[in-house]
Amino acid sequence: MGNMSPEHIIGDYKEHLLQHFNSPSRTVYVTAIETPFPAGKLIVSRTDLAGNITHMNQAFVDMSGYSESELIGQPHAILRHPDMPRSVFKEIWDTASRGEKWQGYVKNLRKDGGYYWVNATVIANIRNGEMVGLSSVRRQPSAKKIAQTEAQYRQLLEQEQA
Amino acid sequence: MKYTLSICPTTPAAAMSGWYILNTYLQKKLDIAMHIEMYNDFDSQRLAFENGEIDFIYANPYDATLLIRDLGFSALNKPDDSANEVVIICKDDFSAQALTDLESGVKITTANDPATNLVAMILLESADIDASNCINIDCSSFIIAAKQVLKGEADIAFLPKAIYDKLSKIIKEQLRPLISSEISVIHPIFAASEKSQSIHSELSQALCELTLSDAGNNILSSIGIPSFSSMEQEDAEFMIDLMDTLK
Repeated sequence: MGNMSPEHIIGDYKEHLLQHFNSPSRTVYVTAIETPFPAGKLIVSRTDLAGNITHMNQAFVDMSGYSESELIGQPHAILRHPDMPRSVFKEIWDTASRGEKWQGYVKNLRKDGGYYWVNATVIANIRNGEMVGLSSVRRQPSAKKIAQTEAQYRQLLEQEQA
Repeated sequence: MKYTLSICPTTPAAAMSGWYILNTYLQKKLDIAMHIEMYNDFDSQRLAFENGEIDFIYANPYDATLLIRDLGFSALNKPDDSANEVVIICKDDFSAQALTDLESGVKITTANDPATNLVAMILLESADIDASNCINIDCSSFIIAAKQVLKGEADIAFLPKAIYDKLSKIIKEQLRPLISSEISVIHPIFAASEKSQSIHSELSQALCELTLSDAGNNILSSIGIPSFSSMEQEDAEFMIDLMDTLK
């Protein structure tokens, strides 16, 4: 997963350097343009244990702004937005690894620098008693809960950056 | 051995005769004895397959986890282009123009179809409506649910898209869809018990080959399914994972 390319960005943007858990840091470009969640749809993807995307549906592709071939095999963190606290992703991994369901709001970064909020649920894929990956299903978020989550995540980010 | 086939209790009445014809067709094709057992609701059907009384079931996706992971059923086939899509309807002159206009206390009529209700309640989450702040009116069929909305006894109803699409023009003109799901990954499954394992392969193939003959195509048409595809175990596991994220 390389740095984002400024030529793909639509609108005014800010540059950020993201530190990932298991991969090198990544330069991303972020705009203030929101893409609304497609009404009535679910965004579905699966990753392997290394966090690389193995399966996605068309809504996942459409919302990301990437093509399917640009996404398959890439770390799921390709969608990580700098407004998301690192601790949330650790909590997702830890919860799913315990065999429990994680549910919460996530702000995702598009290829064009814009963003979209999702109400996500993540579970481990267990086959023959072994965890083989993660499935994530995102549904349309509520505007009220986005506002609440934004405030929580801002606080978490401040704590992480202190 | 005599086998028992059961189908989803919310199967439209118009499709019932088709399922009886399919049952007769499969008996002849596979040289087996099989009868259809109908249940009035999901609870009594669930009790029957938990008690080992059902060998084959055209099951609601909501029951896939229980059937496959807990009771050892195998998913043999899936219907093509028959996803469990849902339409939330209101009366045409209802005050809400969009889902987000719905308010706490909204009166919802449902026909106790677990997959339909699950998907519809997920759609309502974006409007901050959940089980704690709505009034649920149970009814016995989707058609009655639509009538309750028309009479103003309920604000909205949950209908499978397949049922909504078949409502008469006169009824549809008095109703308005607030939202339609486009989920596509959730669908019924044709599942088989462990004890019927010796005919799984033949039965699955017979369902896939229905499109190869006029008689088979007539049966498919009468049950409202364009064709069946075989299902790999991983297909079923994937759908179960998805259902589990939604429950």
